[in-house]
Amino acid sequence: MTELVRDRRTQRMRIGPLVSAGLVLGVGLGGFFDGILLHQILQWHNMLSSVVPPTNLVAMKYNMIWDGLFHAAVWTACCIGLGLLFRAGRKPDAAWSGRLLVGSLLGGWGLFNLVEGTIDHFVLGLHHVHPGEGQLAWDVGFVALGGAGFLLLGYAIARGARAGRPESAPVPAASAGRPAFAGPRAVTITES
Amino acid sequence: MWAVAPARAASAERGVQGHLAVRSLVLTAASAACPDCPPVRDARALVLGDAFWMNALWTVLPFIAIALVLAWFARLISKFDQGARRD
Repeated sequence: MTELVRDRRTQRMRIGPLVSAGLVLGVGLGGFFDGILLHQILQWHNMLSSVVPPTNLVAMKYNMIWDGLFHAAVWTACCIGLGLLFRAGRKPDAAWSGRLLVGSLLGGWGLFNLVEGTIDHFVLGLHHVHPGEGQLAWDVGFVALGGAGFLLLGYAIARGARAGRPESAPVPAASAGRPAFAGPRAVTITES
Repeated sequence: MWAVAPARAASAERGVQGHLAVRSLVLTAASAACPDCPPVRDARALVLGDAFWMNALWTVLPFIAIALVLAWFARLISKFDQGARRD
């Protein structure tokens, strides 16, 4: 049996693991929201619809292929985010808070809108949110509200979270007098 | 009678247009679902043309920028966590 001494100075949980996971997942989910709603359901734009406007079947299929590659990148982000979330759940010293996660998800979504909106809509001009009349207003609104707005909202929500780890967390924080892990390598925590 | 006739004609025209729209939608869907039809081959050839690598770079560029921002932010959060622990 190994004795693990808990230092009172390390009571505060680390927010990094959960925030990182939430941000990456938020990027992925935000990308999916953009792709599903704006590219597919509303069909306002595609990945390269300003480069090759989808005015005939071949051009539509061309844009669909590039949309698929975009979704592949976004799907990869979701997988990485899920992996980070699982890792955060297994760390006994990582904060586990719904509010912190939701704030981070919104922050990731806002980051995606801000960066993708700026680069694709303004810098490269690959596509615009709603091409045609009022195009600039849509692009500016997307970056301002969907980008910076979501980032600020996510920060405000996450800021109010408590950086603790409840008993209901996947791996509860170690506490005095109880085995921290079950199994042949069980340890007992003693206070110093 | 005269007022009813134009309404009926307009309604009939709308019906024809609606029928045509449905037919064209079905045709488009059928051709879209065809994996080796000429439009698909043309689209693939267009994608894999001269501009492929440039377009691929433009598509990936926002994600590279996002990854850099997230890496920077992760370092910031890590310093914050270390600082909070020392307090």
